[in-house]
Order: sequence, then C-alpha cells, then structure tokens
Amino acid sequence: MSHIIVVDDALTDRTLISGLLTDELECHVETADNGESALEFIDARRPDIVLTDLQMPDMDGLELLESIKEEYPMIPVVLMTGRGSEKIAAIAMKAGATSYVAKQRMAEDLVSTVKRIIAATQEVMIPPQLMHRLEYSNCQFTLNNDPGQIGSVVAHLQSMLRCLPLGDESERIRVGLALEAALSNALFHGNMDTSQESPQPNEARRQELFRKRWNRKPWCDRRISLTAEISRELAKFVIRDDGNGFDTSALDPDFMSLDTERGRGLPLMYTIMDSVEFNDAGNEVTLIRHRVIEGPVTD
Amino acid sequence: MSFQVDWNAALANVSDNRELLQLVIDAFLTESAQIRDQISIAITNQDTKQLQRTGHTLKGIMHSVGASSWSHPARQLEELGAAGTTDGAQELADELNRHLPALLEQLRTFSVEQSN
Repeated sequence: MSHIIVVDDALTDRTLISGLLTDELECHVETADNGESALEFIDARRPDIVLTDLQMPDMDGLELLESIKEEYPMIPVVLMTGRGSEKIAAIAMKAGATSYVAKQRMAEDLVSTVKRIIAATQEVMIPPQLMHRLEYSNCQFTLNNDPGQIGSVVAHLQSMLRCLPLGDESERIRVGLALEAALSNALFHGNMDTSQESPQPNEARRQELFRKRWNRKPWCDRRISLTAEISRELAKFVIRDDGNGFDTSALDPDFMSLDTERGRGLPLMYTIMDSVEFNDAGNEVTLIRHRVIEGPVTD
Repeated sequence: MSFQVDWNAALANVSDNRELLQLVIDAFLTESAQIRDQISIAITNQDTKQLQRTGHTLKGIMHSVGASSWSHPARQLEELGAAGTTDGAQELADELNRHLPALLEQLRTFSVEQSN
C-alpha cells in the first residue's frame, strides 16, 4: 500500500484530494496544512509521494519542494496548481517537481498521475544493478496505437536510464514522465488527430475519440516510431507519429506558464528535458536530457 | 444578484461521489468563516501578501464546491493583493459578506439532505 502525504493549507482541498485518492487507490493518505508540518511527517514516515499546494503561509510549496529535494531526493513531489499559480508552477517544475496537476482538473488527472508515479517507482522488470553497468544503448521501437505499449516501453527505458547520472532517483522518474508525455501526444494528438477537434477535447472526449478511431482507417494504420539513445552522457529520444502534425510556430519555447487548457504534455517535456525540438511538420519531437554531474563517472 | 451552486460541476469535482462531496462541503462550511476573518485581518493590517493568498484560497475552494460563479470578489481580492495594494479591498469583502450567506445556505441544505 502506497503512503501519500497531501500538503495544502485549505481544509476543503485536503478533504477533496484525500477523498479522491482513497476512493480509487489502495493507499494511506496523511495530510499537513503547511510545509513545516509536512517536513516533520516526511522525516518520520518517509512517504512514497508528496502532493503539495504551492501557495501556503510561511513555507510555500516551492520552498517545501527545495527542502525535499535536498533532504529526501528519492521522494517524488507532485504540485497541485490553482489558477494564477502557473508561473510559479513552471519554476517549481524546473526546480525538480516530478509532475503537476491543475486543481480545476483534480477529478480527471490526480489519480492517473499518482498511479503512473507509483508504477514508475515500483518497476522491478530488470535488476537495477545491471543497468548501472550499461555504457551505451541505441534502440528503435515501432509502436501500435496502444497506451499499454507506451507504459511498457517507458518502464523499460526508464530502467536503462539508471546508467545516466541525473542527480537523484526522482529525476529518472521525471525523465520517464516527459517521455511518456511525448509518446501520449504522438498517440492521441498525432495519430488519433484529437488536436484537430475544436474546441480542444477534454480527457473524457479524447478517450471517446480514441475508442472510435483506434481500429478504423486511416488511424489504425498509423504507428509511433521511437528511437532511444542512452549513454552515460545523455539520453536522446526521437518520437515520430504518422499524424498531420501541428503548427509549431505557436509554441512558447520558455513555457513559463503551465497552460492547463492545452494539456500537460508539452509543459512536462519543456520543464523536465534540456532540449525539446520539433520538426517543421510538427509530427516528430527530439528530447534530450544530459547528465547533471561533472567529472568522471563512478560506480 | 442570485447565484446557484453548479451541482453538476461540484459532483464532477468528486467523481460523482456524493458522500465525498458532503465531506468537502462540510469542510468548506467550517473553513469559509475562518477565511473571511483572515481577509478582514489582512485588510486591517494592510497585509497584501495575506490578502493575495486568502483570496486565492477562497477562490479555489469555491471552485471545489461548484461555486465558481460566486468567486469574482475573491479573485479580485487576490489580484489586489498581488498588485501590492488593499485599496478597494473592503468593498470587495463587503460584497463577499453580502452574498456568502446564500451560498452557505445552499451548501448546508445539500449537507442536511445527504445526511438524511
């Protein structure tokens, strides 16, 4: 059973978030109403995940994140962002938050986000020690339009990322989340054309479109190509879909605002990876993440 | 001005779990009085940081209970605080205090019906 700490100064939101989690996940949830209490909880209980609000009195969410990254770097931190907190949320993502959920989309995104992170922290497919011995890998996948395949390939590559010095364990999970976001974009926005809808579909509508299209032409013939190059210096992922692409000139390259209306995929990629480049057609993205420590690699 | 709680939105926020919505509403009923006091203190002390934060919190929890249409004064208080001023905050607090009882009444009615 996973142990989750929810940090929010608002009793109403602590009640809502705890209820959504315990309703759908096998987990034990504890709550704290400020950052300092949260740190005491974390020190005593060592939770699997911390979910934190950003705007709180005394120690705010960004300060809490920095303390957790300093003292407990293995613990993933998920931000819960209200309207008006987008800029500080982007700063917190750059500072090492594992992911974020917009408060106005809690019911849609919270449980799936936490599930993905729990799965990423519990993967045991390959002995982790072996992956610390990996020097270089270059592999290519051609994926069907199957969300399950995305989860499997991300788990596999995330395991290989153990050879790349990223600073701490939660960084490896963050890179995995960015890769998963890119592959999900390729599947839903690219191959399934959900971005062509106007207005932009919500998650329920996106899933409905997927169920209608996944086995129909032209969508069923489309594939996702993934090339992954992982070494002790960098991880480079090239993801290409067979969809119609999108207008990349409209992108905000700094992504200083986490625009929740357009989905979380692009902000996750931009705030976690060192480099995000699209081709002109908008159907291929190259993600690069470099090692973070200087000097020779030690075992 | 007469607003109604958007029960569809409120239930969507809790994945249609009415028992959870009752817990969330009970928390809101407890918390909203405290936040009103905090807003009042922030205005008296001209504490713009607290004004911004409490306005932000009230706006957020109003959304959680399906009362976004009531949250305009809270959002404006947040914006005033963010702009570093309390000028005009008392008028907004008065507007909140005029309309909040009707919201609380609608929420209490749901809570009582759910209990029965």
